[in-house]
Amino acid sequence: MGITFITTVKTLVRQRDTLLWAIAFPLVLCTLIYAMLGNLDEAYALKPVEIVVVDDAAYQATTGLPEMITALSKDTVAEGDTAIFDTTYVDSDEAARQALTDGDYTGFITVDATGQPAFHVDARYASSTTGTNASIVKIVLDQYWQTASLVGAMAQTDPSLFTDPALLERLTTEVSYTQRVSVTANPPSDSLAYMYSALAFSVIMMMSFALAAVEDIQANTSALGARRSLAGQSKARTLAPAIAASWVVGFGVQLVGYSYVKFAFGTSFGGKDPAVLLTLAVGVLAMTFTGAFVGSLPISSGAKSGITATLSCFLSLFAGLYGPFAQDLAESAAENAPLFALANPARQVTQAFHALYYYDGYQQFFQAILALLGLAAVFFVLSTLMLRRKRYASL
Amino acid sequence: MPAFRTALRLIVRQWPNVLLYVIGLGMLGVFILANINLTSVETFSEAKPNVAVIDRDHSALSEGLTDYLATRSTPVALEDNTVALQDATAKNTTPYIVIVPAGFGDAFQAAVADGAPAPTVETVVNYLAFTGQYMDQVTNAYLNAVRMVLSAEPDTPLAEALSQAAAATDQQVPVEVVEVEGAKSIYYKAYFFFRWMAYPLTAGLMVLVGMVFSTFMGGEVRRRNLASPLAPGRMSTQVAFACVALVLFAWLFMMVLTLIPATGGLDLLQGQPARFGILAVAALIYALVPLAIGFLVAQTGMRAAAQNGVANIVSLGFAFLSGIFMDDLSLMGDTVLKVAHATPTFWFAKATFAVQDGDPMSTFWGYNGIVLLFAVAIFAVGLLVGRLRTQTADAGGNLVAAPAAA
Repeated sequence: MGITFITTVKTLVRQRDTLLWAIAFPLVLCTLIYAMLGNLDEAYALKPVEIVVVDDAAYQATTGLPEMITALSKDTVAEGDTAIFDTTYVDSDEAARQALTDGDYTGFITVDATGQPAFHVDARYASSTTGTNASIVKIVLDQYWQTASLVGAMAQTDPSLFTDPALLERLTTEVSYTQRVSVTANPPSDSLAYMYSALAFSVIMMMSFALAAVEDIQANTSALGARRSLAGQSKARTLAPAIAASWVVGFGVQLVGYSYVKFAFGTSFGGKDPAVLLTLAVGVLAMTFTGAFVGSLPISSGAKSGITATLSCFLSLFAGLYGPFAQDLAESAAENAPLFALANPARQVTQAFHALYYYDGYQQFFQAILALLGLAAVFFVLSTLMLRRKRYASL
Repeated sequence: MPAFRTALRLIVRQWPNVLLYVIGLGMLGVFILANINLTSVETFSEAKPNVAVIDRDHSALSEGLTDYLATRSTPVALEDNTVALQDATAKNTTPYIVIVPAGFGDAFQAAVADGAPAPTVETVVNYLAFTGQYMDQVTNAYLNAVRMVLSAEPDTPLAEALSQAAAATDQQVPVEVVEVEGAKSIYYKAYFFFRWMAYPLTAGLMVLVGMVFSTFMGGEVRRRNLASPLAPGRMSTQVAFACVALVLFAWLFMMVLTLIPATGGLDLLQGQPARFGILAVAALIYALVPLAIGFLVAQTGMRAAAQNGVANIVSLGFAFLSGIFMDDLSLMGDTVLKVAHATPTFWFAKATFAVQDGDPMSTFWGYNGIVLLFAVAIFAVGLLVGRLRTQTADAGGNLVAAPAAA
């Protein structure tokens, strides 16, 4: 068995093109993701909303609106405060509409003869899914208008209230009642999710080693398999070391990928490296048995390679690899089809990494590990059923 | 046309790959779009992020705040424990959580009455800073309205102050939606799907074309073919025709997918048929690129498994670099953008963005010209590699004879 193990390792390592792609693919994908999405968190960071203000007589005649916009705008914000707007001033409604056509503004603000502000939003930013920026502009204007209306109503009820300028000042000065706190072990990051998904993708690809190893021991799939089946060695004593060798090579490849993303890109796993290695080991184990099962299917080698590649792509969709839409889809699928999510190794590997990064405890992490072990057990049984007592070209 | 028919038979025999790459990956795009909920933009809809309130105060004020936030967001029930909070933040299911500490209502009233420092609610925001900013504004708008009522008339009972604040926060400014040329968001899905096509077309056509050419160029088969009465040039032409037929099939299949309502293609076809037409042409031109790459890969003599690997790397790599998954080229860094210029998918994506933004047709055709040049250049490299390979000993070329002559 030892010799079979060593020979299988050598055979797999000598399949240069398979090995090269198994190593190169995750490295290239992670590099691409790092290059593409490394600055995603920056993109989601707060940037002033670009707006146009029609600075006409009606706007200037309002009480407090020009001052409020100035205080919230990029170039005029008080030191230490956060700028909410990047404001461009124009002198007419037409000029504002033209600015929307020429530039990339969320919308423009006008004030009517009664002093009520109105928001004119660019259609691109008007839907609830694309319009957080527009909603920020709207809530700021709403808040201004609510304060103005409230003060107006109070003045009507009791005009004496406003003889005291200090009270008026106190009433209209906004107070901040919110304070940010963090609940996760590490700061939330969106780009990390893609890096984890890419690693999960490469774990799925480790199926290919077991697939090749199993094809090499079956009498009807390769010449080598035909020769080996003549040897005085039981199927179990041939299969077990072949599977073990596939796992060793797969795990080795994952170590290369993991080291690359950790050291070259500084990807964080919450500082829990032994647990990351355990995830990779168990993930590769699950995929090794899945690969053995696919390898045992009575279909052509080309179709098996296709299944491996497509499974990697398909399962990664539900691990959120293909961008923000896929991330949403993955979460919604996990909510509506929890069993599918549980049986998706790409999702479970991603979840294990997530758990290590975000949670203090290990409960979620071990849930993912257990799911992967369960998957490994299922495919171990399936591949054993497919491979044992198999008869070739017989009656 | 025996070679043509044989090549078609080979393609048909590769049905699992057709099913998995062309149909499967094409349907992935449909699947993603079916799950995107884009509301109409004829009326303004405020962002309604998922928001959870952890109320540890249970005062009239905290309940009033909870009710108000529910009108400006999508309320989510969340258990008050660390794991639930971490879960909601990490999985981005609840990008904004408000924790109202015990005693907040009393502290709030005391602060308004005697000018003590204002108490705060704790807010948890994940990486979506815009959502955090927006919901902070919403939370502060309500609490400031309550503060104003209580400041003006300190004797007002809290319940009365809350109802006045609620009435005040009902006041909203009017919103007009301005339609800018090229910004028809109702067609957004269609443009996304046209860009997405690059992924299944690249992966699928690379694998299938590569396989057809590999089979015909493979050592023994090639030698047997060369011995046949069919001239090599005619045979290559017939195989090429079969590959072009495959390209047309894949392209046509993508066009059929655009008619599925989830992709929004039908809306674009009915609303702006000319734009749909030129996007379809752009997709067809783009499909020539994987045809050329598949040809090139086959010329290198790579094995099927490795060809699958290359197809995956190239298709995913091109898709990521060209921003078709992100659907926003502005999210890419400068260096990546420079690298992306060297990929044909980037120019295809640019062409679709040009149509979407209503850019001049010359810009659109310019981008398509670049895509076509990529296809021609890659094909030329393929021819060169093939030429060099036929001279190797493996292929029975001149190098076989060389040692004997020596």
